[in-house]
Amino acid sequence: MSELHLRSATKRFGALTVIDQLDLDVGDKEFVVLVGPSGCGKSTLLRMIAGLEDFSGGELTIDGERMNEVPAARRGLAMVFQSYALYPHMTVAQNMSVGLRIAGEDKAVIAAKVAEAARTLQLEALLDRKPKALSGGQRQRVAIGRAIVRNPRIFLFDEPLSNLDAALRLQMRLELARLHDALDATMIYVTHDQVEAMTLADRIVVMNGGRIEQSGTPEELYERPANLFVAGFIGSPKMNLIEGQSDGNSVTSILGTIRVAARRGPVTLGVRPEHIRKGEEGGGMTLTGRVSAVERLGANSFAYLSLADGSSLTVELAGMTDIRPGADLPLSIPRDKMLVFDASGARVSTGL
Amino acid sequence: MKASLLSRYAPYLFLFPSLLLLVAFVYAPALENMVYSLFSWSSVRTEQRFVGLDNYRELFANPVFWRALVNNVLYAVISIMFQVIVALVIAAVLVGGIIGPRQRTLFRTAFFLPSILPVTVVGLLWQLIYQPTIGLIDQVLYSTGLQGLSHVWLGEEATVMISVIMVSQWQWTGYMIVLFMVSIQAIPDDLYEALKMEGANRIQQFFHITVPGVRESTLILAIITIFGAFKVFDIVWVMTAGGPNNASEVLGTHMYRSAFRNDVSGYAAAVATVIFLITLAIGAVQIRLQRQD
Repeated sequence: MSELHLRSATKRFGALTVIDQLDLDVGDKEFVVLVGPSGCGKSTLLRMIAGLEDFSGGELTIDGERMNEVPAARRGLAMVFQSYALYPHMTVAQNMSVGLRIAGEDKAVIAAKVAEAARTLQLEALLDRKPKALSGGQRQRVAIGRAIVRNPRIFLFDEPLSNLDAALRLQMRLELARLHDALDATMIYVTHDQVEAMTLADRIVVMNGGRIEQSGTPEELYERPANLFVAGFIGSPKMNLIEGQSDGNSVTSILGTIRVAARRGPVTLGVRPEHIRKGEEGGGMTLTGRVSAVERLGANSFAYLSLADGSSLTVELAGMTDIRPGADLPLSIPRDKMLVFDASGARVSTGL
Repeated sequence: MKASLLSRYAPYLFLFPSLLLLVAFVYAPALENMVYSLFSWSSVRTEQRFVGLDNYRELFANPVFWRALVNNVLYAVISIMFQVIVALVIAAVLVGGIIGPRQRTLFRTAFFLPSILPVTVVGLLWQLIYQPTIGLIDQVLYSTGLQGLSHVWLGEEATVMISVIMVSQWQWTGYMIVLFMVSIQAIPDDLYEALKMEGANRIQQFFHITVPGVRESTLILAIITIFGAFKVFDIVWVMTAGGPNNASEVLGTHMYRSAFRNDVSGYAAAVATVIFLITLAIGAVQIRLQRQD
């Protein structure tokens, strides 16, 4: 059992509040991803959990035990750093065993644990190498191996894939997912990459300005974002956001009018690119946009349109579309895929 | 064709002036000096008598030479202790976040300050500090009831060399601290944090990260320190001129005295050649060690 709870966690650097009264619960064996734009406080929060930053206020408990004053090494955590933080003068085996050696663990035990971690991560052939003789992906695996050897209650990852190229990032993402299954361990993972968040997480915590905007499964965040920030942050390309006006019972925008009970005043309508259909057979709201650019990715394409009022709209199309910039494209949007956000940014339950 | 010729020889063209100066004022005199060491001659006469290796025989039979050599070795050993080992430890403490950034700047400046003073000033200053009875050290010893430890620091054969050596440590350790601080600051923080999470205390962090992390600089600074110890002249000359009774003689002062006081130029050239060969050997060791990395 490894549960972690944060209550009113606060971190201030001088007058600047980086983490603001934050509550977070991480359940046993859960893979929680903290995601947000740079400067949102996600790395600071992870470092507070790790014991590398003090709390300015609030409380951290792991398995019911208050951890605020417990030194980093005794919290039962292991952290994988973005830079991997491998010791350049030590071999792979020495890097992985350094914690155990400092703790004065028995040599045979150390050797067994290193061998086991090396087997899990396919590092057996590299144990005598120095870090500089390793590729980026191998270094990453050594850093993870060092964490595994410690047999921690919770694994912490601080943007572990940021220094890898795209192909390797994909591969390591899959390996991390497999590792989570294999180790059956609690993991807290920080990234600014929402694709990593979507693919790895049991639960995503979207942070902004030192607060949690929303916490939920990837599906929840994608389908039912709590507010405009989450709607815009999760999903690539971004959700289309269109200005509209509510009279209390219905919302009018360039897309037309839909019946929805939102407070009178300006509102924002949101619809994801893949929910917009070409042609008018969709049966929803219809409109026409002029294509300004097209990106063909192979399996799908994205058309960037400008609407009559000058606002822009991104539409996902199947396959390698033959639509060219300059063309007028008739579209339809199913009403039930339309999200409505009020003036404060919070999502209005549309009841559709 | 012309362009390629020019581009091929252009680098040498740029190197030529400095090469010329080096040959004229360093390499040629160094070789010439070796030739001089095979002659018996005086700087105020024109004739030179070839004596083969007689100057070296005389040199190796001279107890003052051996005294000087031992003093240089002592200089090197103590300098390594202070200017490399102690300096590295203090630098690690200053960088390590144990004290605040303002105190760090204060200490760094304070430690660095002696190195910008002229050696002559430092020498005179410390002569005063070492003065028997009225000097600062004896004053402190007397006022704390430790007058039994009092010495004529620069006047006794047993204490003079160590006294002079310690002045050099006072002057240069702070300089080395600053160089080490730069080197330590280049080590990524992540390494320290990762090891901290593994349960390492500050001493373990020092030996596992700081020491290996500054290995290159340590090697170079150690070599520079040893070079300095074998070439030392000014501070000794200012403070004791090698006395009393040659007790603080180093190779530099021995050479100088031979050449410009005793007027045995061939012999002095032999001393200079020995110093040259020692530093050459140290330089070779340095290149060797660096190549291993």
